Amino acid sequence: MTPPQTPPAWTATTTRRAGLVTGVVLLAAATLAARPDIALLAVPVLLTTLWSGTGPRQATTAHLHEPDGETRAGELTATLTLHPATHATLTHLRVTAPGHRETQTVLATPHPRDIPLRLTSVRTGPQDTFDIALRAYDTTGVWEQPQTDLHARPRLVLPGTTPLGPVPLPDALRGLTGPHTSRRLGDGTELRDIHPFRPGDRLRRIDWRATARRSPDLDHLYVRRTHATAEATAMLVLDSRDDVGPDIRTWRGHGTRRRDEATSLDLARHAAASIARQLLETGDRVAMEDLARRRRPVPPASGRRHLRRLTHGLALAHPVSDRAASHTLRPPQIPAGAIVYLFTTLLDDDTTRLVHAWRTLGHPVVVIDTLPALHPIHLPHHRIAWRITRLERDDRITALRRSGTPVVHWAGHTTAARTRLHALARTHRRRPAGRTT
Amino acid sequence: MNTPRRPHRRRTPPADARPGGPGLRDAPLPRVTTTTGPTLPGWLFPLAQTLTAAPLLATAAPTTWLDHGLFLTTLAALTALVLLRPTAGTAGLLLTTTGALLWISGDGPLDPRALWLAPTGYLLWRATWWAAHVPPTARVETAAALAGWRRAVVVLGATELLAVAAWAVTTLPGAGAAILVGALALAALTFLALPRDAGGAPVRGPG
Repeated sequence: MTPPQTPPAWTATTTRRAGLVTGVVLLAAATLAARPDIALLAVPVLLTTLWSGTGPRQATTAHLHEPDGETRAGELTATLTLHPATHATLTHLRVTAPGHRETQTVLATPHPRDIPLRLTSVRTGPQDTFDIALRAYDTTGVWEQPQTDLHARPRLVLPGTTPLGPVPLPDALRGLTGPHTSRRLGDGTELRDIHPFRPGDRLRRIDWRATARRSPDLDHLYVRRTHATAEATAMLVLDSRDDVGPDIRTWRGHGTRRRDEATSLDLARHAAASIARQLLETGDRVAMEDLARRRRPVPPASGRRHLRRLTHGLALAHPVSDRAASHTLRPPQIPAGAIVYLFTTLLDDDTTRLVHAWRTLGHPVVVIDTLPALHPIHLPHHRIAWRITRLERDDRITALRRSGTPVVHWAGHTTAARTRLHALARTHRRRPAGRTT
Repeated sequence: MNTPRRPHRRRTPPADARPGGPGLRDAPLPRVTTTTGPTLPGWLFPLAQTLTAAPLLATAAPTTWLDHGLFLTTLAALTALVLLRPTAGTAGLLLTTTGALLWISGDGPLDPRALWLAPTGYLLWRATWWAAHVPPTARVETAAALAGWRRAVVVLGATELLAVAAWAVTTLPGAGAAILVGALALAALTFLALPRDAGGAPVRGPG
């Protein structure tokens, strides 16, 4: 909650002075002309001015309540609580926020009241929110409490998630436990075969029915052997070196990016959070790397707390100003046997080099294309520039697909992306599901 | 000899003139949403100013002036002034001008037109205050616009009662002295109120 500021004193507006001067002039004219009808023009103005007295005795105060806890995209709200002074029945609010037009409203405040505020923003990450300027007036408008400013604290908006179906998993499953069935022998639940008892087999694995059927004299004992279980590891690599919106005019820093349109980084955060949630809900391990930041990656782990850790890491990802450092890309270290999900706009060749390096090391890679659907381009030089950029980008996508790396477009409706990921997951499942280690 | 006419060629309009081009404005930014009661648009108050200022001046002026271009120009200029600079000063100037016109055009101690000129002037005064404090794009809660309506009814009722009393008094012999005394009393009342304008009311903090 924003701490209340000390409200300024009430002051008389120019309405008071102008009312008195107008009244005196009209009364003087009425006296000179011996015309009471002229004095009648002054009466309501004078009565209103004098009736206001010395103004309200207390101050109108305001408190801004912001919701605690996590903030998701589209949930930037707050509540302004007004405590008006006695007889200060008018409150003028001017609420502004980055990327929004200001809203000015004059409210009736005979009693304390709450004013809900909301922003129309789909952006994620650190966001500045409300700036509020407040003035109060008495009923006649003669007395005014000068402007009081309230500033909301910046909020970290976490990316939302979309429920996905199965997503591609690595060919090599690791570990001794997990949600997936590996091809090696182990303590899983899926039957592999019936085998004669050997030293080392557990007695509880003896299948007495099979033994009675195959060896009625009990010369041999037979045990049920099962497949072992294993887990998959996925590495989410977020290319946050650039953050471009649907309006190509803003790509070079000109103009204002709208808050009601998702940028490439917002789409990348959303896609990464959705895939991470799907993987973690099935019990797999997920790690994360941010290409724009020289920090240690989020190590692979599983569980609900790890999803929160990943979501916060995604929300804090942002382009760095040091372009020279950010464009010196080395392939991040990938855990053995992990699948790589790369979230990128594919606007440069660095990401394709990374994909090539990972595939050389045997990691399967899925590229999630996070370039938003662009607005129509009207300026000729922008159109030419985009045509060249698009051709280069199409070449990269074609080269990736030829090398066996699937590219999934995330912009627009996520239904298409979900269907494509499901199809890729089925394709991966038809391959050998794992290898014995 | 007739020169052959060149076929009319339609030139491709420049990019800025095409639909959706940068010549057209982008979609407006979203607004901050505030949840309030029923509201009125802020442009209603300049409209109310226009609907009160012009009739106020036209009614107070002599009927013979209504055909004169100079008067009509002055009327339009004063109305435009109060529209473009909606301050208490311009509203006061308009009221004073109305009083002057009434002085010029009136033929008796109490012109009956004052019975509705006084409430109309008060409406202009209040509409100008709202227009001065509320931009045309702002919203005003209906309850806020109607706040203090009881006080306004009392003020206007008292004004009309005074008008009726003045009308009754002026019909009696020797009314001039009574009018003078009443005007002086009101002037003294105003003078007593003037020193309060120098400072503001003391504020007691919220605690």
